[in-house]
Amino acid sequence: MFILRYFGRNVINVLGLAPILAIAGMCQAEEKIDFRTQVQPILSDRCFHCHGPDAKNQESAFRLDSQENILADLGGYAGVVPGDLEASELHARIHSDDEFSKMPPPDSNRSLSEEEKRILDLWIQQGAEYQRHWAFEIPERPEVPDEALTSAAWPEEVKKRWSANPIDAFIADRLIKEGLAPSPEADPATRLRRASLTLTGLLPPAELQEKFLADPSEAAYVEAINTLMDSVSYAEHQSLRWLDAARYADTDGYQNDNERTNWPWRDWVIQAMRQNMPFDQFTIEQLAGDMLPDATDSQRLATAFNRNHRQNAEGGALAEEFLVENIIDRVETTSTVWLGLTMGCARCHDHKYDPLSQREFYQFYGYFNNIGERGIGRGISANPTIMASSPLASISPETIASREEATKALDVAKSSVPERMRQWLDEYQGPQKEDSISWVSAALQNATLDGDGDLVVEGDDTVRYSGGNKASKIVYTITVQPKQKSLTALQIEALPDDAFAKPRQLAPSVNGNFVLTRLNVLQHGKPVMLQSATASFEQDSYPVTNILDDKASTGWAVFSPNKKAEPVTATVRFAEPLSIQDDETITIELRFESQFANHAIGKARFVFSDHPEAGKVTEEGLTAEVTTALAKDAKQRKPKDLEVIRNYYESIDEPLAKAQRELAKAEKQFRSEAGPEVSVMVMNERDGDDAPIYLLNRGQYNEPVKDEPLSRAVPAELLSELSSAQPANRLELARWLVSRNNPLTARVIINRLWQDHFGVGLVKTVDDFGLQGESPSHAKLLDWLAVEFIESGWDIQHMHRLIVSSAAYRQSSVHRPELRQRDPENRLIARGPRYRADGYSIRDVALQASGLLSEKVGGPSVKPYQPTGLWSTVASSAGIRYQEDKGESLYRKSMYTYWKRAVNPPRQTIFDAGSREVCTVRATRTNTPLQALVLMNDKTFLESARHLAQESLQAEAKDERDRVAKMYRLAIARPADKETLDILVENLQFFRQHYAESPEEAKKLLSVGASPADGSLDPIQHAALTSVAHLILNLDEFVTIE
Amino acid sequence: MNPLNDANQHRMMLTRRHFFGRSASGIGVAALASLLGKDAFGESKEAAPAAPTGVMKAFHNPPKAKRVIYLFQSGAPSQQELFDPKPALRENEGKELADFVEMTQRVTGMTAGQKSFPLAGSRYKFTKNGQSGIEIGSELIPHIASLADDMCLIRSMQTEAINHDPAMTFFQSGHQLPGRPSFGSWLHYGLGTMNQNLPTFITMVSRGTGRPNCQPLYDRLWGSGFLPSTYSGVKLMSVGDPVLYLSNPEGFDPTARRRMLDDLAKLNLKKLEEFGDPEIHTRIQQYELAYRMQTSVPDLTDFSDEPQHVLDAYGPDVMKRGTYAYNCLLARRLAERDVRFVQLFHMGWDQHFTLPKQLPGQCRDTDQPTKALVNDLKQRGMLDDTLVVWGGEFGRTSYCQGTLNAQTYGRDHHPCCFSLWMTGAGIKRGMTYGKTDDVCYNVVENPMHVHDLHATMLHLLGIDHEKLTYRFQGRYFRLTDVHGHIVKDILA
Repeated sequence: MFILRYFGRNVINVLGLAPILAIAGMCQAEEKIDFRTQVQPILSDRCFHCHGPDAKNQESAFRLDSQENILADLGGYAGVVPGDLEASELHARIHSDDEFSKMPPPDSNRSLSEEEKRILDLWIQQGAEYQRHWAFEIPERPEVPDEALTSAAWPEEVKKRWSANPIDAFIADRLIKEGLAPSPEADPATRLRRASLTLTGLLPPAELQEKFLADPSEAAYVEAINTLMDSVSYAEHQSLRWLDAARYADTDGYQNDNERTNWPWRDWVIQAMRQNMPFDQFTIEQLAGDMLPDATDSQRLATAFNRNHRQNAEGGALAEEFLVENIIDRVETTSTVWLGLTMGCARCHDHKYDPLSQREFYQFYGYFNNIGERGIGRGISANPTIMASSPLASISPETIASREEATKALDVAKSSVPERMRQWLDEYQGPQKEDSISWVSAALQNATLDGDGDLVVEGDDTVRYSGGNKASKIVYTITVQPKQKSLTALQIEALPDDAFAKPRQLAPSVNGNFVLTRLNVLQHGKPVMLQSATASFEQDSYPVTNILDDKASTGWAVFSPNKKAEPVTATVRFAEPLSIQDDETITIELRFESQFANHAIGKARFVFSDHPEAGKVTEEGLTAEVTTALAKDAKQRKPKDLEVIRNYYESIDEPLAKAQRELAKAEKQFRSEAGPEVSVMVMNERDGDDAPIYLLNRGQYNEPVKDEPLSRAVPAELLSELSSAQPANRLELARWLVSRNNPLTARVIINRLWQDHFGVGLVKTVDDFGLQGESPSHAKLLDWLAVEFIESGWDIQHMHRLIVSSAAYRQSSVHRPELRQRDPENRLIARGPRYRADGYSIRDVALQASGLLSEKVGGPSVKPYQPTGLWSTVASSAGIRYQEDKGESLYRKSMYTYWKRAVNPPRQTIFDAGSREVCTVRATRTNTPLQALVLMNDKTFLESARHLAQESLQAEAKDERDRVAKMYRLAIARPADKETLDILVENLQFFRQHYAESPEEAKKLLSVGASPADGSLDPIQHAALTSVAHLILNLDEFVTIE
Repeated sequence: MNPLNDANQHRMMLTRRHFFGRSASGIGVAALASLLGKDAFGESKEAAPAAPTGVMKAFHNPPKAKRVIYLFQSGAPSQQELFDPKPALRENEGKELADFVEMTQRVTGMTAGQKSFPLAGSRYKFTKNGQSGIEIGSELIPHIASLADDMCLIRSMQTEAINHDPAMTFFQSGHQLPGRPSFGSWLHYGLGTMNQNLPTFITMVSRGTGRPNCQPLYDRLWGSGFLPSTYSGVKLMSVGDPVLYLSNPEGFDPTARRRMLDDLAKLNLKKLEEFGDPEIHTRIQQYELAYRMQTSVPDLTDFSDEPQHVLDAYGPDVMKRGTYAYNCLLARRLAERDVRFVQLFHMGWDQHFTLPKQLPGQCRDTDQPTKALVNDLKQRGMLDDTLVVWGGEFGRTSYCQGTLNAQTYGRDHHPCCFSLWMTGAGIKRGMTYGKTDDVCYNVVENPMHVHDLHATMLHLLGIDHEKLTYRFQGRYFRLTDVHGHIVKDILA
């Protein structure tokens, strides 16, 4: 594969461009040389290294990078004299045999072929016209070349099919010039499968297949495409491409590779794709959402795009050094993703090939250096950060409303505090005396015990517990009948008894101590909200407030070596007074769930109060300062005293407390629906003066050229004459990137969309649109698409629809023998695309076919199966291990797999995924034995096969052939032909016999993977069919988009 | 990509007809063998081709080394204790470094805050070794010291990075930031493979006893960067399958596997006939290679054919998977099987504090097995065409980090001078190269930069470091970037 890529330029010259000229030029007297496609590539590749735009680093003053420079007077002679070969030094040098004057010099590893020399000579003879690099000119919409098709000798049916979509006119135009015919349309099932895989990364859903295959009309195809683009899978698949470009990962990358939590940004992208957010908005929000007027949380979250860089927290790392690296990473990522330029080359010196000076590199750098970050430290706290949750979470309108309502209610409660405080002050009579509050014992009706031991109701309205052998999880459920009409607080009295061990004698445990871990009070079977708890005594680290939480690991205990046996009480105040009907009962639940045996109250009584102040935690907050202020006469109180009193009052004001509780409840509900809130690294432009910008000598962080501060700018070559104003800040930069005057963005993006479908971009070097990049195979088509993209309102789905509905895309992908020599890479598109799917898709489709695939969208990343020891062998400590998830998380789409930068998920990288350390937009596809091993042996594929077999066994089927056919259809989304079925059925027969002879093996095979097998199926039959299913999942056509 | 010529295509179609003409059971293997060429199964009978099979079709210069075993000591071993004796440090212990040399180099954030930079001398003995009399810290590494007459000890190594992550990335790929191919990937890309049954670039990792919580390693250190992932190093695991996903699943024995692959090949051949896509042909071959690896890798890791005296030479850890000793023996076995680039990473050489507590154990892990490996190669005549390299990512400071007293001291990172040694193919033996000053702060003679090391190693492998390039994003990249000189003085 690489051999062709390595010699890519030669191949293209031979196969791509030269034939046109040969054909087009044949009948003309003189061949007209095209500067852009013929001359510029030679100059750039063979000459620019020493005679290019890099002003500093070259020995010769002669430069070949502009019209002016080629004609420059070099002291009585010139490199190029238009029309005069003999006077042109360039001509003399390239034809020289002299070791010292020959160009390129022999030691440069560069040389010119005779054909290339001839082209250069012809170019000089024809006037040596110099043109600006094509990609730096603003694209204009070219005319659709439909006349070639009209007059072509193609069958009418083909011509008709190829004249509906403008894309096809461009492709046909080229094919006709090359004397090639297109391939026939692929069959409907293949077409639908192809579109589904390139749009959504999954097979078409069964209903869609059924519907489309029943009526594979033109309209049905378009409708199917729309259905596919409406799916969440479409949004996810498109987002996945963006994640590679944005180097998104779940860890920091350097050294210990700490976990970070930028995943809400990933969900932001999915959300944007789901809504088909126009690409200009998508750009502006991600690059500069923080700078938009009244930026929303969502817009701020979007800016995490440029904070997905690695982050160094290594001990001893220098902040200044990595601050520079972070900013340069932003420059490189932004320039690759939007501009298709390799700006990183200009970090240390002027770009060798493209008109980008080192100075311009740092001027561009200035857009990204002003967020006040520190450069080092863990990503999770690498400011600026925000707390965010997934924008995908669906929160019910009621929840949102009740949170808003509760917020408002709190405001109302707050605003009326002064009024209530005045009233309270008027009535205030000093702290309540405990003895004024009366407590009445409730009548005990019933007591049940959950756990070991024995619980009985005694005559004096107490319960008595005698311990058991394994009594460490004990629950009392006690029914009482209170004697008051209104209850404000409950008091639990634990009473000592000689039967229990010293010193406390309060429980049947070794030391007479108990641990009450939770108290619940239920009225009408529903839990009553408890406001506070106080106790007469608390053991260190076992405060009574622990009985209000749900944690079994915390509780209230009363041990102390200095305390003798005496009663202890816990008083719990209800949030609202309970009103009690006649004969009504209340249920009290005491949970003793500590690890200590028999630590449950031995003798307990339950008393209630109806006093409004009962159980109030009056001590809290009532400091000496407050008491003094309150003790003063109203007229004597100073503003400071009033403030103290007000602060205290707010802590005891009941309506305020109630409103706060309501809000907390609403928040809790909101959070449970919104999912966790985590720290996300974002951009946030600093206030005040901008950070200064200096050129860094040799790109070294510690060598700024401080005597010449720079101002922000984009490379001058990219600015059109129409709008030469430089963007002043990051927001303006973002707007410029998606303005009509930007020559690159639309071309670069549409080229990548093209790559997503055809496997190769119209410009193969999707990451390099500079002079060293490949010229487009269909330049006019690229421009037409770019302008269409802009004029559609940057509508991504519109562009996908256009591409996928073209006749070019819908061709059969069978390799025609005559094309094998002419165009092995299918750059002319005389057939449909055929290439291996990426590793994400391969796994997802296996899970989809088997019915295991989870449809859950977004949220924290997950950890599916991974070979053991992968993390621990290379981590800083052998104890760092991969904690495999359970249940649904094992079957989430591969884009949600936890991405650790130090140790990438092997299933993905073996299939050529980028490492997510730096921006990747290029698609590489290798074909290796390690890929074969994954498909052969990874649990995921075995388990999928098992479920695929199970699904087929559970369904109705005529015979085993039918079962096999069903599995094939589920996995490939196409019916199997007879010969294929013959082989698969033979395979089944072999494996049925094989497993019949070794039923133990069958059992083992059926237990691969975490999900259970259907035990009601015959294991021999199930195992044999699993083997067939597994064979199907290994087929070339399973892993291939064709 | 493997475009088929017409003859190939014709042969394949014949084979397919032949293939399906017989009953399906058991014939597949033979048919496939004829399809895939005579060396498709089992060991190749022929010697590995002399000419490279990668992007290079001929060597740039006559190669001395066929393969490399790189013993990477991760964390940075201290040159003052092991290879570069500095009595002046002990004599002046506690005195300020600044009194001896102008401190112009940057220091890490770990010691930048130190008020004082006191010199700390080695507490370990150096002796002169062998005929060459090279001074080595033989108290700590007696076995390695005994190799003195075989080694070229470079005391003047220099690098650019001061933190582990960038420094290791630099040593591996010639660049401090991720994204470039590692040495082994360049080699695979340039020269291709020499064997049919194993990967071309293999790495192994072991954990030192010196510092259990040490510098982590990263996939990128053996990654292919912008080269296609085919060129990535394959890490042999020390738990589970040595090669990821190597073993057949439970309930799927070799008979089942063979049958599955035969039927898979039939179906894929059918597909190839219909679609003519050469990728299908490649895929069939890759499945067969995977199948061969299922045999060749267990065979590789089965030490039962090693005589006891060989096992003994590698020391007591040799049978423990995941130890340096085990990996050393495996390295020899890989070299025998013509794996072109074998790289060991031994973690734990990062003695910031309490060096005397950590370093002896760390040395013990590696000392005896290293010697055993070199001698083993020598006895088999393989040291003549195998290049062996031993070294870390930078050096350590002569000033003390943390507490300095009679019992303890430590050393911070020092990129401007450190030691590394090589032996084997094309290397002059029994010599030292380069000198540092008395306080081991600067190189005073014959500096050797990491780029120079890379250029020299490539030269020994028959590659001109300026000519092996890969075009990516419009630029021709090479391992040595725009630097690197071959250090001829150390060549035999």
